[in-house]
Amino acid sequence: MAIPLDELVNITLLTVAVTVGATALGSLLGVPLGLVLVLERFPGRGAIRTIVYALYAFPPIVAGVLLYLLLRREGPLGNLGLLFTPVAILLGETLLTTPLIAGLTVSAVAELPPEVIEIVDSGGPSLPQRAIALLREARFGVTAAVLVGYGRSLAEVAAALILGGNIRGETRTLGTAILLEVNQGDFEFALALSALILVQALFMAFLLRRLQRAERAFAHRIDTSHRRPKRPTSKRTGAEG
Amino acid sequence: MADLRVDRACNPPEFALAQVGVALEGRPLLQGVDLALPRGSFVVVLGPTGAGKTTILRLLLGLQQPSAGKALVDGGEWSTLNRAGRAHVRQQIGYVQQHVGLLKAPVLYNVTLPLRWRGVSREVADRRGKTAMASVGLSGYEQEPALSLSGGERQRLAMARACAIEPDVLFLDEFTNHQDPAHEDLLEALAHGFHGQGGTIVVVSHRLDQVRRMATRGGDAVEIAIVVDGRVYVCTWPVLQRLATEEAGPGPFLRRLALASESEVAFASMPTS
Repeated sequence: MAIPLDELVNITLLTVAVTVGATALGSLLGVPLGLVLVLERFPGRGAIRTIVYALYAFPPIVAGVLLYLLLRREGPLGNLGLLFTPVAILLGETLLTTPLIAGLTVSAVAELPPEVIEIVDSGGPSLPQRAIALLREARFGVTAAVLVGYGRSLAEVAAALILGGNIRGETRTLGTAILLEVNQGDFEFALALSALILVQALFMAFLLRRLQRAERAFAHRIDTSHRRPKRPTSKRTGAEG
Repeated sequence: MADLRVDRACNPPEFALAQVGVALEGRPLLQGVDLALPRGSFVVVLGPTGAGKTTILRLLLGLQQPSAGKALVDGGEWSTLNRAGRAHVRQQIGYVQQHVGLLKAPVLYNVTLPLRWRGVSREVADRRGKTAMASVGLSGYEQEPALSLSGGERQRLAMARACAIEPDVLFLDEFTNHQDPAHEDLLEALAHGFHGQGGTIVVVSHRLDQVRRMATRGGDAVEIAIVVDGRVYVCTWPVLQRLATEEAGPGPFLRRLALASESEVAFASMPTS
């Protein structure tokens, strides 16, 4: 075995921590940003939306280089000493997941029927109440956005390599470890590490499937509920469509 | 039938449209509209489909800004209110939409959410929600998915949602369109009962028979705002019958409407222009 078991566990745990952390941070930033972009009107909104959409295709290597310039010792944030730490990788992944989650949140909320947004607004909710009500309505789309963000973070290598440095025992993730093994010609072990990433990807796919099934079950309940016996009939007139 | 209660310290805000114009994609929809809603007023907005009746409600609710003129609430423009100010006014208004917006949630959740926003406890909100549902004949539907309801049930859910907050103002947009006669009578009676307790009410309708019923039921002093060709003509029921004989203004529209309505409408036999 090219990597001892305890080191393998550490690499896997670091990968999970960075991926989950970046998804959480990206959601904390991206979901509110998406809500603001779709629900509020202000000068420059269109331009910001365009930038967010453009960042869907933000090359991880570019994100890595930009953050590297900020975090390196001579950079404006150099005194924080974050370069080549897991935090630097986390920041890099967050930079990549945030626009994706924000943009997909915009899409999810924009698809809500206008009468739903109108009835929420006409009820006089506070800003958080309005956001929660509309997020609840768009929950399937927003959850899918978060899971897609998780996927992007999981699959990312370039920024993790530049910002983390692939330091053994400190900043080595599954992605950067695979790259190292390939460079050393150990394809068998690289494949084994890839399988660990695939397990996480499968877990994400499983969650997405569960989400779709929940949505279908909800729609099915709506379609068939008029046939369920528990529904009251005494108040019905039979004259309605 | 449970009463539709207004807030005990009923003090509805005053609404007004002053020389309001609305253009949609460059096409003028409303022009120079003046409409006043003092406290406790009862206005029925009548007009053909697409005339701008719903737009008038949206202007009064501050959900839409006029292209010209002013939409006023308690003497101030809607556009000058901050978020808290808008929320404060809207929390006094029960709104039944023409196309009812429903949340993907059980019926009772839909009815009680505006109450929860006002800080009412879940227990009290549920109790008031169930009472409001009972008043519109929806008892037993509490845990049903709101989206599974029929068109008429959705409208009654919207009415229950509007009632549950014990509003000072009711805006009802084509609120009986999908109802059978019994439920239509029930909802109209609720509206009159609400007005009888001092609430301000605006009903949008495109049906002359309903306008006649609303305008002549009980002792309510009802104003009718006729929206035709972008203009609004405010009158009472007797004046409306006279207007129907005139060649100008809303006359031709009213005669067409009368001919298409039930024969019992007083001026149904007027000649068309």
